[in-house]
Amino acid sequence: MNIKVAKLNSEQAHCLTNCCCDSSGSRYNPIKDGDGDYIITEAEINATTNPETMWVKSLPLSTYIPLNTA
Amino acid sequence: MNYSDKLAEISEKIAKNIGLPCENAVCIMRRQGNGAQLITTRNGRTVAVNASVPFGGYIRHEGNVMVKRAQGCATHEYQTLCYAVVHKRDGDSLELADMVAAAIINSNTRERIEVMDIDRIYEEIMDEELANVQVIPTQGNLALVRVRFTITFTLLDCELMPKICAAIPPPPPIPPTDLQMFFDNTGITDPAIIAPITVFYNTAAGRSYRPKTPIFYPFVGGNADAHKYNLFNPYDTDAANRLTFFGGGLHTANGYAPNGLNAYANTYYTEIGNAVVGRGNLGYYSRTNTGSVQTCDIGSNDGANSTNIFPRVTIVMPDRLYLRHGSAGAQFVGGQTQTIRLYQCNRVSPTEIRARINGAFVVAMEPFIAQCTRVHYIAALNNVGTAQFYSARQLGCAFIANDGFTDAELIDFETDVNALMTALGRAV
Repeated sequence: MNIKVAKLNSEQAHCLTNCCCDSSGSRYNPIKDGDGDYIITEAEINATTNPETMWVKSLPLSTYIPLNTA
Repeated sequence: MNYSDKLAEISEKIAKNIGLPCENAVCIMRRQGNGAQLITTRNGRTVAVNASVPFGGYIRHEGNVMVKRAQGCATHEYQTLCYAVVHKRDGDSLELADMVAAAIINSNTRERIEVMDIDRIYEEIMDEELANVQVIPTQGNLALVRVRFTITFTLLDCELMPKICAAIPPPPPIPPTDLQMFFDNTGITDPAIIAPITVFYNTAAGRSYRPKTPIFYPFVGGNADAHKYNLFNPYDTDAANRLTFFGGGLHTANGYAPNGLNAYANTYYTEIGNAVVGRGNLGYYSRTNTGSVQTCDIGSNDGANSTNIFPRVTIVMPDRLYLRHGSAGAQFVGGQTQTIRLYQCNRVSPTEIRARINGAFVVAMEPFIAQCTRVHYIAALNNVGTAQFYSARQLGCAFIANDGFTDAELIDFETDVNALMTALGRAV
């Protein structure tokens, strides 16, 4: 799964959970990656127009680390 | 004294007692069916009955409606002090009265016309209190519009009528149909989308499955703001099952593309209180073929009962279709080779799920009858309140029905959805 994501700290993840990213009512859905860190996807960052959450656009992107399902 | 008698007496009184020259006339509107009829009297005698005006503000809609002619009436030209009596239904607005008044006054000023109850007018006219009457909104079935200045007008095919009608305030907006509201709310103006959606909508309206199906998401418009709307109830509310998208799914001209990682949509639909117990249908049109992966495209699980579709999973064995509808146990159908096109997880029987998957009936025994208490998600399973088993299959549409479809309805729905997908260029 080659998806670009941005890592979040717990406070940031809590802030974004259920928060609208744009005027359509679409919301962020922070989840944990294989390192145990919270992430949101590049698509959520690109869709962001909410003035309160524009800070997500400055987050560095990296490739998603899948959960270890072994 | 009844309405007609009062009307006649008012007309006679006005003609005789307000000092009009003999060539002047009184014009009265009276109720005729769903409209109002213009009655012209002269010196107390009815000289013309014509100009039937439909009630309720459709004057502009019909164009020059004041030119309708009763048989035998000639063209008249009047200078008159005009009293127009307009019969209105309780609860209706006064658009007709206002517009008739506007038509009448347009040739002079734009002074606002009030209305008053015919009983009040009757009393005042009989008491010869004709000037400066204080009008009040009517509570009864009759309204009187009083025009306190003269006009000149010709009743039939006159040059003045188009000018008067052109100046009539536009009728109140006709409440949009759900379909038009859908287009308005989604902002869709592309004929290439409007046409197939309209065909689908109208075709579905004539199908027996339609009353069972409160929810259909066509995912047209190419963005989240458009894709969220339920075609069959296009209000931007949870109660209308407007979707809320979560996570990083993409919205394109081909529908909703979840990412299999954190994207899903909340339908706000629960079977409790909506679906018939032990019956129902839900599903989607998938445009993506995947292998055997533990991903769910629609549904929920409350920990005891479930309704959902996993189109191709590995549970004990690979390539199994996992169906649940009001189930306490999973039902599997093996040998799945693809995950595309229309899935209908349908239940009409206490003992089995009778699904329709990509052109074929699929029957799975199901002895439990229950309802899931959780809201259904799309592109993931609502697993006891948490989104899990995220799907990456692009969806051309999704739907939920409150009752199970018959075999014929399953086929009809499949036919209509396939036609829609083809017309939208989404068929796979």
